[in-house]
Amino acid sequence: MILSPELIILDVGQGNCTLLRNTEGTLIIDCPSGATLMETLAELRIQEISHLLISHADEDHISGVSTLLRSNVNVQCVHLNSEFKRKGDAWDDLISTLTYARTKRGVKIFAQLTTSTTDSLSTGEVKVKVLAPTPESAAKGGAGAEKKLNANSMSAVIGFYHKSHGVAIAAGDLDQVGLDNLLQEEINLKADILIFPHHDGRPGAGNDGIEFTKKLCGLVQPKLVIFSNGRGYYDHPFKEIVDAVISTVPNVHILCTQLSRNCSQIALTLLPNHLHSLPAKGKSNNSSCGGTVVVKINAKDTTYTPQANNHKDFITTQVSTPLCNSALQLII
Amino acid sequence: MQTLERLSTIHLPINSAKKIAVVDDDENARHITSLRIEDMEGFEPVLIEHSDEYSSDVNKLVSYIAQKDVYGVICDHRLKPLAFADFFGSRLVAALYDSKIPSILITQFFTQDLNGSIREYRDKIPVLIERKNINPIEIVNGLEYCLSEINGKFSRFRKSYNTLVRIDSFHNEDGKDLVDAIIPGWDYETVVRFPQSIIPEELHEHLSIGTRLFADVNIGAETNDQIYLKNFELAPDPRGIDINDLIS
Repeated sequence: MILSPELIILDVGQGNCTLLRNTEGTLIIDCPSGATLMETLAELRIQEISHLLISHADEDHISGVSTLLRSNVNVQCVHLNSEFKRKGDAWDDLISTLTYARTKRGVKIFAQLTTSTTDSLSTGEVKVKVLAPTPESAAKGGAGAEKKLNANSMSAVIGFYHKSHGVAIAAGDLDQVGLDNLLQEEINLKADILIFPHHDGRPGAGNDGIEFTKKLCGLVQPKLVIFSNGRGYYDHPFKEIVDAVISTVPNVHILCTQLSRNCSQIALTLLPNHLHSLPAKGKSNNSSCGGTVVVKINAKDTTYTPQANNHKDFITTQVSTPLCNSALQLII
Repeated sequence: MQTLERLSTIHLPINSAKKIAVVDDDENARHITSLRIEDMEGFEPVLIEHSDEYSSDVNKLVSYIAQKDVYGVICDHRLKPLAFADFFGSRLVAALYDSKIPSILITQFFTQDLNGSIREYRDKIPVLIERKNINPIEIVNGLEYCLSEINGKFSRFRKSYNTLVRIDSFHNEDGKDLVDAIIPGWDYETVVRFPQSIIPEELHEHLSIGTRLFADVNIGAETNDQIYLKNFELAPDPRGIDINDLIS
Protein backbone atom coordinates (compact mmCIF):
# COMPACT_ATOMS: atom_id res chain seq x y z
CA MET A 1 0.00 0.00 0.00
CA ILE A 2 1.29 3.44 -0.88
CA LEU A 3 0.01 6.73 0.52
CA SER A 4 0.43 8.90 -2.55
CA PRO A 5 -0.77 7.38 -5.82
CA GLU A 6 1.36 7.64 -8.96
CA LEU A 7 0.76 7.20 -12.64
CA ILE A 8 3.82 6.10 -14.59
CA ILE A 9 3.96 6.36 -18.38
CA LEU A 10 6.95 4.31 -19.45
CA ASP A 11 9.32 5.13 -22.26
CA VAL A 12 9.06 1.78 -24.04
CA GLY A 13 9.96 3.00 -27.52
CA GLN A 14 7.23 2.29 -30.05
CA GLY A 15 4.25 1.14 -27.98
CA ASN A 16 2.36 1.96 -24.83
CA CYS A 17 2.66 0.98 -21.20
CA THR A 18 1.04 2.79 -18.31
CA LEU A 19 1.31 1.83 -14.67
CA LEU A 20 -1.00 3.05 -11.90
CA ARG A 21 0.36 2.66 -8.40
CA ASN A 22 -2.87 3.17 -6.55
CA THR A 23 -3.27 3.26 -2.79
CA GLU A 24 -4.40 -0.36 -2.55
CA GLY A 25 -3.08 -2.03 -5.67
CA THR A 26 -1.30 -1.71 -8.97
CA LEU A 27 -2.82 -1.67 -12.43
CA ILE A 28 -1.09 -1.88 -15.81
CA ILE A 29 -2.39 -0.86 -19.21
CA ASP A 30 -0.67 -2.67 -22.09
CA CYS A 31 2.61 -4.58 -22.23
CA PRO A 32 4.82 -3.90 -25.27
CA SER A 33 8.14 -5.50 -26.20
CA GLY A 34 11.32 -4.94 -24.25
CA ALA A 35 12.50 -5.14 -20.68
CA THR A 36 11.48 -1.67 -19.47
CA LEU A 37 8.30 -2.75 -17.69
CA MET A 38 9.98 -5.66 -15.93
CA GLU A 39 12.92 -3.47 -14.93
CA THR A 40 10.51 -0.89 -13.53
CA LEU A 41 8.53 -3.45 -11.55
CA ALA A 42 11.79 -4.78 -10.13
CA GLU A 43 13.05 -1.32 -9.23
CA LEU A 44 9.76 -0.42 -7.52
CA ARG A 45 9.62 -3.87 -5.91
CA ILE A 46 6.14 -4.45 -7.24
CA GLN A 47 5.34 -8.15 -7.00
CA GLU A 48 1.59 -8.07 -7.46
CA ILE A 49 -0.59 -6.60 -10.18
CA SER A 50 -4.30 -6.38 -9.43
CA HIS A 51 -5.39 -5.78 -13.02
CA LEU A 52 -3.75 -5.93 -16.42
CA LEU A 53 -5.83 -4.09 -19.02
CA ILE A 54 -5.16 -4.76 -22.69
CA SER A 55 -6.43 -1.78 -24.66
CA HIS A 56 -6.40 -3.73 -27.93
CA ALA A 57 -4.35 -6.46 -29.53
CA ASP A 58 -1.88 -4.58 -31.72
CA GLU A 59 1.66 -5.89 -31.32
CA ASP A 60 3.04 -2.69 -29.86
CA HIS A 61 0.56 -3.00 -26.98
CA ILE A 62 0.66 -6.73 -26.23
CA SER A 63 4.01 -8.21 -27.27
CA GLY A 64 5.30 -8.22 -23.71
CA VAL A 65 2.29 -9.84 -22.08
CA SER A 66 3.97 -13.26 -22.04
CA THR A 67 7.04 -11.78 -20.30
CA LEU A 68 4.88 -10.36 -17.51
CA LEU A 69 2.66 -13.42 -17.10
CA ARG A 70 5.65 -15.81 -17.08
CA SER A 71 7.50 -13.77 -14.46
CA ASN A 72 7.43 -13.99 -10.69
CA VAL A 73 5.06 -11.04 -10.58
CA ASN A 74 1.63 -12.19 -9.47
CA VAL A 75 -1.01 -10.89 -11.89
CA GLN A 76 -4.52 -11.41 -10.56
CA CYS A 77 -6.81 -10.37 -13.42
CA VAL A 78 -6.48 -9.71 -17.15
CA HIS A 79 -9.16 -7.74 -19.01
CA LEU A 80 -9.41 -7.50 -22.79
CA ASN A 81 -11.87 -7.46 -25.62
CA SER A 82 -12.07 -10.33 -28.05
CA GLU A 83 -10.36 -9.92 -31.39
CA PHE A 84 -10.94 -13.53 -32.32
CA LYS A 85 -12.27 -12.67 -35.77
CA ARG A 86 -9.30 -10.50 -36.52
CA LYS A 87 -6.97 -13.51 -36.26
CA GLY A 88 -3.25 -13.22 -36.71
CA ASP A 89 -0.08 -14.38 -35.00
CA ALA A 90 -0.07 -11.67 -32.33
CA TRP A 91 -3.54 -12.61 -31.20
CA ASP A 92 -2.64 -16.31 -31.13
CA ASP A 93 0.51 -15.48 -29.12
CA LEU A 94 -1.71 -13.73 -26.61
CA ILE A 95 -4.17 -16.62 -26.42
CA SER A 96 -1.33 -19.07 -25.85
CA THR A 97 -0.02 -16.99 -22.97
CA LEU A 98 -3.45 -16.39 -21.45
CA THR A 99 -4.22 -20.12 -21.64
CA TYR A 100 -1.05 -20.79 -19.69
CA ALA A 101 -1.79 -18.00 -17.21
CA ARG A 102 -5.31 -19.22 -16.48
CA THR A 103 -4.56 -22.93 -16.26
CA LYS A 104 -1.18 -22.84 -14.52
CA ARG A 105 -1.18 -19.59 -12.55
CA GLY A 106 -4.85 -19.14 -11.74
CA VAL A 107 -5.01 -15.73 -13.43
CA LYS A 108 -8.60 -14.61 -13.94
CA ILE A 109 -9.33 -13.74 -17.56
CA PHE A 110 -12.17 -11.36 -18.34
CA ALA A 111 -13.01 -11.30 -22.05
CA GLN A 112 -14.44 -7.84 -21.90
CA LEU A 113 -12.92 -4.44 -21.25
CA THR A 114 -15.77 -2.00 -21.68
CA THR A 115 -17.57 0.71 -19.79
CA SER A 116 -19.22 -2.07 -17.79
CA THR A 117 -15.84 -3.16 -16.46
CA THR A 118 -15.24 0.03 -14.45
CA ASP A 119 -16.74 -1.18 -11.19
CA SER A 120 -14.42 -4.18 -11.04
CA LEU A 121 -11.21 -2.16 -11.30
CA SER A 122 -11.12 -0.70 -7.81
CA THR A 123 -7.57 -0.47 -6.48
CA GLY A 124 -7.74 2.50 -4.13
CA GLU A 125 -8.23 6.25 -4.09
CA VAL A 126 -7.73 6.76 -7.80
CA LYS A 127 -10.83 5.72 -9.68
CA VAL A 128 -10.17 3.91 -12.94
CA LYS A 129 -12.95 4.30 -15.47
CA VAL A 130 -13.25 2.51 -18.79
CA LEU A 131 -14.64 5.23 -21.05
CA ALA A 132 -14.79 3.15 -24.21
CA PRO A 133 -15.80 0.91 -25.86
CA THR A 134 -19.32 0.08 -24.82
CA PRO A 135 -20.40 -3.47 -24.04
CA GLU A 136 -22.68 -3.36 -27.09
CA SER A 137 -19.64 -2.91 -29.34
CA ALA A 138 -17.91 -5.83 -27.67
CA ALA A 139 -21.05 -7.94 -27.95
CA LYS A 140 -21.03 -7.52 -31.70
CA GLY A 141 -17.92 -9.69 -31.73
CA GLY A 142 -15.27 -7.04 -31.22
CA ALA A 143 -12.62 -5.91 -33.65
CA GLY A 144 -13.01 -7.49 -37.05
CA ALA A 145 -16.63 -8.45 -36.51
CA GLU A 146 -17.81 -5.54 -38.63
CA LYS A 147 -15.99 -3.70 -41.37
CA LYS A 148 -16.22 -0.45 -39.44
CA LEU A 149 -14.91 -1.90 -36.21
CA ASN A 150 -11.15 -2.41 -36.34
CA ALA A 151 -8.82 -2.85 -33.40
CA ASN A 152 -8.32 0.90 -33.03
CA SER A 153 -12.05 1.62 -33.09
CA MET A 154 -12.42 -0.90 -30.28
CA SER A 155 -9.40 0.37 -28.39
CA ALA A 156 -10.15 0.80 -24.72
CA VAL A 157 -9.94 4.35 -23.40
CA ILE A 158 -9.15 4.58 -19.71
CA GLY A 159 -9.69 7.60 -17.46
CA PHE A 160 -8.01 8.17 -14.10
CA TYR A 161 -9.86 10.31 -11.53
CA HIS A 162 -8.86 11.41 -8.05
CA LYS A 163 -11.41 13.04 -5.78
CA SER A 164 -13.59 13.66 -8.84
CA HIS A 165 -10.77 15.44 -10.63
CA GLY A 166 -9.76 14.22 -14.09
CA VAL A 167 -6.08 13.32 -13.86
CA ALA A 168 -5.36 11.51 -17.11
CA ILE A 169 -6.84 9.84 -20.15
CA ALA A 170 -5.02 6.87 -21.68
CA ALA A 171 -6.48 6.72 -25.16
CA GLY A 172 -4.87 3.51 -26.45
CA ASP A 173 -5.02 3.66 -30.25
CA LEU A 174 -8.44 5.32 -30.40
CA ASP A 175 -9.50 6.38 -33.91
CA GLN A 176 -12.27 8.52 -35.35
CA VAL A 177 -14.88 5.74 -35.19
CA GLY A 178 -13.96 5.03 -31.60
CA LEU A 179 -14.09 8.72 -30.73
CA ASP A 180 -17.51 9.10 -32.37
CA ASN A 181 -18.77 6.12 -30.40
CA LEU A 182 -17.27 7.58 -27.24
CA LEU A 183 -18.99 10.91 -27.77
CA GLN A 184 -22.38 9.24 -28.00
CA GLU A 185 -21.99 8.44 -24.32
CA GLU A 186 -21.79 12.13 -23.35
CA ILE A 187 -18.82 11.61 -21.10
CA ASN A 188 -16.83 14.50 -19.63
CA LEU A 189 -13.30 13.85 -20.88
CA LYS A 190 -11.54 16.78 -19.21
CA ALA A 191 -8.24 15.75 -17.66
CA ASP A 192 -4.82 17.18 -16.87
CA ILE A 193 -2.96 14.67 -19.02
CA LEU A 194 -3.74 13.06 -22.35
CA ILE A 195 -1.73 10.03 -23.39
CA PHE A 196 -2.30 10.61 -27.06
CA PRO A 197 -3.67 7.76 -29.18
CA HIS A 198 -1.68 6.02 -31.86
CA HIS A 199 1.66 7.37 -30.65
CA ASP A 200 1.02 10.67 -32.46
CA GLY A 201 0.52 9.03 -35.83
CA ARG A 202 -2.56 9.55 -37.93
CA PRO A 203 -5.63 7.83 -36.49
CA GLY A 204 -6.17 5.31 -39.26
CA ALA A 205 -6.66 5.40 -43.01
CA GLY A 206 -9.45 7.68 -44.16
CA ASN A 207 -9.49 9.64 -40.90
CA ASP A 208 -8.76 13.34 -40.81
CA GLY A 209 -5.97 13.38 -38.28
CA ILE A 210 -6.06 17.12 -37.76
CA GLU A 211 -9.78 17.26 -37.06
CA PHE A 212 -9.55 14.17 -34.88
CA THR A 213 -6.76 15.75 -32.86
CA LYS A 214 -8.52 19.07 -32.46
CA LYS A 215 -11.70 17.37 -31.38
CA LEU A 216 -9.98 15.12 -28.85
CA CYS A 217 -7.79 17.86 -27.39
CA GLY A 218 -10.78 20.19 -27.23
CA LEU A 219 -12.65 17.65 -25.18
CA VAL A 220 -9.81 16.76 -22.83
CA GLN A 221 -8.25 20.25 -22.50
CA PRO A 222 -4.97 18.71 -21.29
CA LYS A 223 -2.08 20.58 -19.70
CA LEU A 224 0.27 17.78 -20.74
CA VAL A 225 0.06 15.67 -23.90
CA ILE A 226 2.27 12.57 -23.96
CA PHE A 227 3.23 10.85 -27.18
CA SER A 228 4.57 7.39 -26.47
CA ASN A 229 6.79 7.02 -29.50
CA GLY A 230 9.93 5.19 -30.58
CA ARG A 231 12.73 7.10 -32.26
CA GLY A 232 12.89 5.97 -35.86
CA TYR A 233 9.52 4.22 -35.91
CA TYR A 234 7.04 5.42 -38.52
CA ASP A 235 8.25 9.02 -38.24
CA HIS A 236 6.08 9.62 -35.19
CA PRO A 237 5.05 12.25 -34.31
CA PHE A 238 3.61 13.83 -37.43
CA LYS A 239 3.97 17.58 -37.66
CA GLU A 240 0.33 18.25 -38.52
CA ILE A 241 -0.80 16.33 -35.44
CA VAL A 242 1.53 18.27 -33.14
CA ASP A 243 0.44 21.53 -34.76
CA ALA A 244 -3.22 20.58 -34.26
CA VAL A 245 -2.58 19.92 -30.57
CA ILE A 246 -0.90 23.29 -30.13
CA SER A 247 -3.58 25.17 -32.05
CA THR A 248 -6.26 23.65 -29.82
CA VAL A 249 -4.53 23.94 -26.44
CA PRO A 250 -1.80 26.59 -26.89
CA ASN A 251 -0.46 26.40 -23.31
CA VAL A 252 0.05 22.68 -23.47
CA HIS A 253 3.28 20.89 -22.58
CA ILE A 254 4.02 18.32 -25.28
CA LEU A 255 6.21 15.45 -24.23
CA CYS A 256 7.37 12.66 -26.52
CA THR A 257 8.87 9.75 -24.64
CA GLN A 258 11.61 9.47 -27.29
CA LEU A 259 13.32 12.07 -29.43
CA SER A 260 11.70 11.98 -32.85
CA ARG A 261 13.88 12.14 -35.93
CA ASN A 262 11.50 14.85 -37.08
CA CYS A 263 12.87 16.96 -34.23
CA SER A 264 16.51 15.97 -34.47
CA GLN A 265 18.14 13.83 -37.12
CA ILE A 266 21.27 13.71 -35.00
CA ALA A 267 21.20 11.38 -32.03
CA LEU A 268 22.17 12.68 -28.61
CA THR A 269 25.63 11.85 -27.40
CA LEU A 270 24.87 12.16 -23.70
CA LEU A 271 22.04 11.12 -21.45
CA PRO A 272 19.98 14.22 -20.60
CA ASN A 273 19.81 15.06 -16.90
CA HIS A 274 16.13 16.02 -16.82
CA LEU A 275 14.97 12.40 -17.09
CA HIS A 276 13.32 10.56 -14.22
CA SER A 277 15.50 7.94 -12.56
CA LEU A 278 13.14 5.07 -13.40
CA PRO A 279 14.01 2.83 -16.38
CA ALA A 280 13.36 4.17 -19.86
CA LYS A 281 14.11 2.28 -23.04
CA GLY A 282 15.70 5.32 -24.61
CA LYS A 283 18.30 5.60 -21.86
CA SER A 284 20.39 2.78 -23.30
CA ASN A 285 21.01 4.58 -26.59
CA ASN A 286 20.35 8.20 -25.60
CA SER A 287 17.08 8.35 -27.53
CA SER A 288 14.79 9.56 -24.73
CA CYS A 289 13.27 13.03 -25.02
CA GLY A 290 10.83 13.17 -22.10
CA GLY A 291 11.58 9.54 -21.23
CA THR A 292 9.52 7.85 -18.58
CA VAL A 293 6.98 10.21 -16.99
CA VAL A 294 6.01 9.89 -13.33
CA VAL A 295 2.83 11.68 -12.29
CA LYS A 296 2.11 12.41 -8.64
CA ILE A 297 -1.65 12.30 -8.21
CA ASN A 298 -3.24 14.62 -5.68
CA ALA A 299 -6.69 15.74 -6.79
CA LYS A 300 -6.31 19.07 -8.62
CA ASP A 301 -2.60 19.30 -7.82
CA THR A 302 -1.21 17.02 -10.49
CA THR A 303 2.59 17.23 -10.74
CA TYR A 304 4.99 15.24 -12.84
CA THR A 305 8.61 14.53 -13.72
CA PRO A 306 10.29 15.57 -15.93
CA GLN A 307 9.00 19.03 -15.18
CA ALA A 308 7.99 21.23 -18.08
CA ASN A 309 10.69 23.85 -17.56
CA ASN A 310 13.47 21.26 -17.34
CA HIS A 311 12.19 19.53 -20.44
CA LYS A 312 12.01 22.87 -22.20
CA ASP A 313 15.62 23.68 -21.26
CA PHE A 314 16.74 20.38 -22.73
CA ILE A 315 14.83 20.89 -25.97
CA THR A 316 15.89 24.46 -26.51
CA THR A 317 19.57 23.65 -25.99
CA GLN A 318 19.89 20.23 -27.60
CA VAL A 319 17.12 19.68 -30.15
CA SER A 320 17.61 21.35 -33.52
CA THR A 321 14.09 21.41 -34.99
CA PRO A 322 11.57 20.65 -32.23
CA LEU A 323 8.03 20.19 -33.52
CA CYS A 324 6.72 21.46 -30.20
CA ASN A 325 8.71 24.70 -30.52
CA SER A 326 5.77 27.10 -30.57
CA ALA A 327 4.26 25.51 -27.45
CA LEU A 328 7.62 25.66 -25.69
CA GLN A 329 7.63 29.44 -25.80
CA LEU A 330 4.66 29.52 -23.44
CA ILE A 331 6.25 27.30 -20.83
CA ILE A 332 7.70 29.37 -18.01
CA MET B 1 28.34 -6.80 -32.09
CA GLN B 2 28.44 -6.68 -28.35
CA THR B 3 27.56 -3.31 -26.91
CA LEU B 4 29.65 -2.73 -23.87
CA GLU B 5 28.60 -0.39 -21.17
CA ARG B 6 31.58 1.90 -21.09
CA LEU B 7 33.63 1.81 -17.98
CA SER B 8 34.78 5.19 -16.87
CA THR B 9 38.34 4.14 -16.23
CA ILE B 10 40.57 1.27 -17.17
CA HIS B 11 41.82 -0.26 -13.95
CA LEU B 12 45.34 -1.45 -14.35
CA PRO B 13 47.16 -3.50 -11.73
CA ILE B 14 49.85 -1.72 -9.80
CA ASN B 15 52.27 -4.51 -8.97
CA SER B 16 51.99 -7.49 -11.28
CA ALA B 17 50.77 -7.85 -14.84
CA LYS B 18 47.49 -9.61 -15.46
CA LYS B 19 47.79 -12.56 -17.78
CA ILE B 20 45.51 -12.88 -20.77
CA ALA B 21 45.51 -16.22 -22.55
CA VAL B 22 45.30 -16.19 -26.35
CA VAL B 23 43.64 -19.14 -28.05
CA ASP B 24 43.82 -19.19 -31.85
CA ASP B 25 44.50 -21.91 -34.39
CA ASP B 26 46.34 -19.44 -36.62
CA GLU B 27 49.87 -18.88 -35.29
CA ASN B 28 50.19 -15.52 -37.01
CA ALA B 29 46.86 -14.28 -35.65
CA ARG B 30 47.87 -15.53 -32.20
CA HIS B 31 51.04 -13.51 -32.45
CA ILE B 32 49.23 -10.33 -33.55
CA THR B 33 46.78 -10.58 -30.65
CA SER B 34 49.61 -11.13 -28.21
CA LEU B 35 51.38 -8.01 -29.50
CA ARG B 36 48.25 -6.00 -28.81
CA ILE B 37 48.19 -7.30 -25.24
CA GLU B 38 51.90 -6.52 -24.80
CA ASP B 39 51.10 -2.93 -25.72
CA MET B 40 48.60 -2.76 -22.85
CA GLU B 41 50.25 -1.57 -19.69
CA GLY B 42 49.67 -3.98 -16.84
CA PHE B 43 48.83 -7.00 -19.00
CA GLU B 44 50.87 -9.78 -20.51
CA PRO B 45 49.89 -12.42 -23.08
CA VAL B 46 49.99 -16.15 -22.50
CA LEU B 47 50.01 -18.07 -25.75
CA ILE B 48 48.12 -21.33 -25.70
CA GLU B 49 49.77 -23.70 -28.14
CA HIS B 50 48.24 -26.73 -29.82
CA SER B 51 48.45 -29.98 -27.88
CA ASP B 52 46.97 -33.40 -28.48
CA GLU B 53 46.36 -33.45 -24.74
CA TYR B 54 43.39 -31.15 -25.02
CA SER B 55 42.62 -30.68 -28.72
CA SER B 56 39.57 -32.91 -28.52
CA ASP B 57 38.55 -32.31 -24.91
CA VAL B 58 37.27 -28.85 -24.06
CA ASN B 59 37.33 -29.51 -20.33
CA LYS B 60 41.00 -30.48 -20.42
CA LEU B 61 41.75 -27.28 -22.29
CA VAL B 62 39.86 -25.25 -19.68
CA SER B 63 41.87 -26.97 -16.92
CA TYR B 64 45.10 -26.25 -18.77
CA ILE B 65 44.21 -22.57 -19.13
CA ALA B 66 43.10 -22.34 -15.51
CA GLN B 67 46.52 -23.64 -14.42
CA LYS B 68 48.09 -20.63 -16.10
CA ASP B 69 46.44 -18.40 -13.51
CA VAL B 70 45.07 -16.07 -16.17
CA TYR B 71 42.90 -13.01 -15.63
CA GLY B 72 41.03 -13.63 -18.86
CA VAL B 73 41.05 -15.28 -22.27
CA ILE B 74 40.76 -14.07 -25.85
CA CYS B 75 39.54 -16.91 -27.99
CA ASP B 76 39.15 -17.26 -31.73
CA HIS B 77 35.92 -18.94 -32.83
CA ARG B 78 37.11 -21.22 -35.61
CA LEU B 79 39.73 -23.47 -34.05
CA LYS B 80 39.28 -26.37 -36.45
CA PRO B 81 40.78 -25.20 -39.78
CA LEU B 82 44.40 -25.44 -38.61
CA ALA B 83 43.63 -28.39 -36.35
CA PHE B 84 44.03 -26.59 -33.04
CA ALA B 85 40.90 -28.26 -31.66
CA ASP B 86 37.95 -30.23 -32.95
CA PHE B 87 35.46 -27.88 -31.30
CA PHE B 88 34.53 -24.25 -31.84
CA GLY B 89 35.84 -21.40 -29.72
CA SER B 90 32.27 -20.67 -28.66
CA ARG B 91 32.18 -23.97 -26.83
CA LEU B 92 35.47 -23.20 -25.11
CA VAL B 93 34.31 -19.72 -24.06
CA ALA B 94 31.11 -21.24 -22.63
CA ALA B 95 33.14 -23.79 -20.67
CA LEU B 96 35.44 -21.03 -19.40
CA TYR B 97 32.34 -19.08 -18.34
CA ASP B 98 31.20 -22.08 -16.31
CA SER B 99 34.65 -22.11 -14.71
CA LYS B 100 34.31 -18.39 -13.93
CA ILE B 101 37.15 -17.37 -16.23
CA PRO B 102 36.17 -14.23 -18.18
CA SER B 103 36.62 -14.59 -21.92
CA ILE B 104 36.10 -12.72 -25.16
CA LEU B 105 35.12 -14.55 -28.33
CA ILE B 106 36.54 -13.06 -31.52
CA THR B 107 35.76 -13.99 -35.10
CA GLN B 108 36.11 -12.80 -38.65
CA PHE B 109 33.24 -15.12 -39.64
CA PHE B 110 30.58 -13.22 -37.76
CA THR B 111 27.81 -13.46 -40.36
CA GLN B 112 28.54 -17.05 -41.28
CA ASP B 113 28.75 -18.47 -37.76
CA LEU B 114 26.46 -16.29 -35.63
CA ASN B 115 23.20 -18.17 -35.98
CA GLY B 116 24.67 -21.64 -35.66
CA SER B 117 27.78 -22.38 -33.69
CA ILE B 118 27.89 -19.04 -31.85
CA ARG B 119 24.17 -18.71 -30.96
CA GLU B 120 24.34 -22.24 -29.57
CA TYR B 121 26.42 -20.96 -26.65
CA ARG B 122 25.49 -17.26 -26.71
CA ASP B 123 24.06 -17.36 -23.18
CA LYS B 124 27.59 -17.95 -21.95
CA ILE B 125 29.32 -15.57 -24.34
CA PRO B 126 28.83 -12.09 -22.88
CA VAL B 127 31.34 -10.50 -25.23
CA LEU B 128 31.59 -11.19 -28.96
CA ILE B 129 33.85 -8.96 -31.03
CA GLU B 130 34.74 -8.96 -34.69
CA ARG B 131 38.44 -9.55 -35.06
CA LYS B 132 38.97 -6.25 -36.87
CA ASN B 133 37.57 -4.39 -33.86
CA ILE B 134 39.92 -5.86 -31.29
CA ASN B 135 41.80 -3.13 -29.43
CA PRO B 136 43.06 -2.56 -25.88
CA ILE B 137 39.92 -0.75 -24.69
CA GLU B 138 37.64 -3.47 -26.08
CA ILE B 139 39.76 -6.13 -24.40
CA VAL B 140 39.85 -4.48 -20.98
CA ASN B 141 36.20 -3.43 -21.01
CA GLY B 142 35.13 -6.77 -22.45
CA LEU B 143 36.86 -8.81 -19.78
CA GLU B 144 35.49 -6.59 -17.00
CA TYR B 145 32.00 -6.85 -18.51
CA CYS B 146 32.29 -10.62 -18.58
CA LEU B 147 33.70 -10.78 -15.05
CA SER B 148 30.82 -8.68 -13.80
CA GLU B 149 28.32 -11.12 -15.30
CA ILE B 150 30.16 -14.13 -13.93
CA ASN B 151 29.79 -12.50 -10.52
CA GLY B 152 26.04 -12.28 -11.04
CA LYS B 153 25.66 -8.72 -12.25
CA PHE B 154 23.97 -8.86 -15.64
CA SER B 155 23.65 -5.78 -17.81
CA ARG B 156 20.20 -4.87 -19.10
CA PHE B 157 21.24 -6.24 -22.48
CA ARG B 158 22.08 -9.64 -21.06
CA LYS B 159 19.49 -10.27 -18.34
CA SER B 160 17.03 -12.96 -19.37
CA TYR B 161 13.28 -13.13 -18.89
CA ASN B 162 11.01 -16.03 -19.67
CA THR B 163 8.89 -15.16 -22.67
CA LEU B 164 7.05 -16.56 -25.67
CA VAL B 165 8.86 -17.77 -28.79
CA ARG B 166 6.89 -18.47 -31.99
CA ILE B 167 8.43 -20.74 -34.63
CA ASP B 168 8.34 -19.14 -38.05
CA SER B 169 10.23 -21.61 -40.26
CA PHE B 170 12.94 -24.26 -40.44
CA HIS B 171 16.20 -24.28 -42.41
CA ASN B 172 19.24 -26.40 -42.93
CA GLU B 173 22.66 -24.87 -43.39
CA ASP B 174 25.71 -27.06 -43.89
CA GLY B 175 23.87 -30.00 -42.38
CA LYS B 176 22.82 -28.08 -39.28
CA ASP B 177 19.10 -27.72 -38.51
CA LEU B 178 18.21 -24.12 -37.78
CA VAL B 179 15.00 -22.52 -36.54
CA ASP B 180 13.69 -19.07 -37.42
CA ALA B 181 11.50 -17.65 -34.69
CA ILE B 182 9.81 -14.48 -33.57
CA ILE B 183 10.30 -13.40 -29.98
CA PRO B 184 7.49 -10.83 -29.53
CA GLY B 185 8.71 -9.84 -26.09
CA TRP B 186 11.96 -8.68 -27.65
CA ASP B 187 10.97 -7.44 -31.13
CA TYR B 188 7.84 -8.62 -32.89
CA GLU B 189 9.17 -7.56 -36.30
CA THR B 190 12.51 -9.38 -36.34
CA VAL B 191 13.29 -13.04 -36.93
CA VAL B 192 15.94 -14.68 -34.80
CA ARG B 193 17.73 -17.76 -36.17
CA PHE B 194 19.17 -20.39 -33.84
CA PRO B 195 20.17 -24.08 -33.89
CA GLN B 196 17.34 -26.50 -33.29
CA SER B 197 19.73 -28.41 -31.05
CA ILE B 198 19.31 -25.86 -28.23
CA ILE B 199 15.69 -26.99 -27.90
CA PRO B 200 15.51 -30.15 -25.76
CA GLU B 201 15.25 -33.24 -27.94
CA GLU B 202 12.03 -34.44 -26.29
CA LEU B 203 10.27 -31.35 -27.68
CA HIS B 204 11.40 -31.83 -31.28
CA GLU B 205 8.43 -34.00 -32.25
CA HIS B 206 6.12 -31.10 -31.28
CA LEU B 207 7.89 -28.51 -33.39
CA SER B 208 6.20 -27.12 -36.48
CA ILE B 209 5.59 -23.73 -38.02
CA GLY B 210 3.44 -21.80 -35.57
CA THR B 211 4.46 -23.79 -32.50
CA ARG B 212 4.71 -21.59 -29.42
CA LEU B 213 7.40 -22.18 -26.83
CA PHE B 214 8.43 -20.40 -23.68
CA ALA B 215 12.14 -19.73 -23.18
CA ASP B 216 14.54 -17.52 -21.27
CA VAL B 217 15.59 -14.70 -23.58
CA ASN B 218 17.56 -11.51 -22.98
CA ILE B 219 14.78 -9.24 -24.24
CA GLY B 220 16.74 -6.11 -23.33
CA ALA B 221 19.19 -6.88 -26.16
CA GLU B 222 19.69 -4.04 -28.60
CA THR B 223 20.63 -6.14 -31.61
CA ASN B 224 19.83 -9.55 -33.06
CA ASP B 225 23.35 -10.89 -32.56
CA GLN B 226 23.12 -10.36 -28.79
CA ILE B 227 20.06 -12.59 -28.43
CA TYR B 228 20.34 -15.91 -26.63
CA LEU B 229 17.65 -18.44 -25.80
CA LYS B 230 17.65 -21.25 -23.23
CA ASN B 231 15.37 -23.37 -21.02
CA PHE B 232 12.68 -24.09 -23.58
CA GLU B 233 9.30 -25.58 -22.80
CA LEU B 234 6.15 -25.98 -24.85
CA ALA B 235 3.52 -23.24 -24.61
CA PRO B 236 -0.18 -23.97 -25.11
CA ASP B 237 -1.26 -24.31 -28.73
CA PRO B 238 -3.57 -21.34 -29.30
CA ARG B 239 -5.02 -22.42 -32.60
CA GLY B 240 -8.77 -22.77 -32.44
CA ILE B 241 -9.11 -21.34 -28.94
CA ASP B 242 -11.52 -18.44 -28.46
CA ILE B 243 -10.95 -15.93 -25.71
CA ASN B 244 -14.38 -16.81 -24.38
CA ASP B 245 -13.05 -20.32 -23.70
CA LEU B 246 -10.74 -18.75 -21.14
CA ILE B 247 -13.27 -16.84 -19.10
CA SER B 248 -12.64 -17.60 -15.47
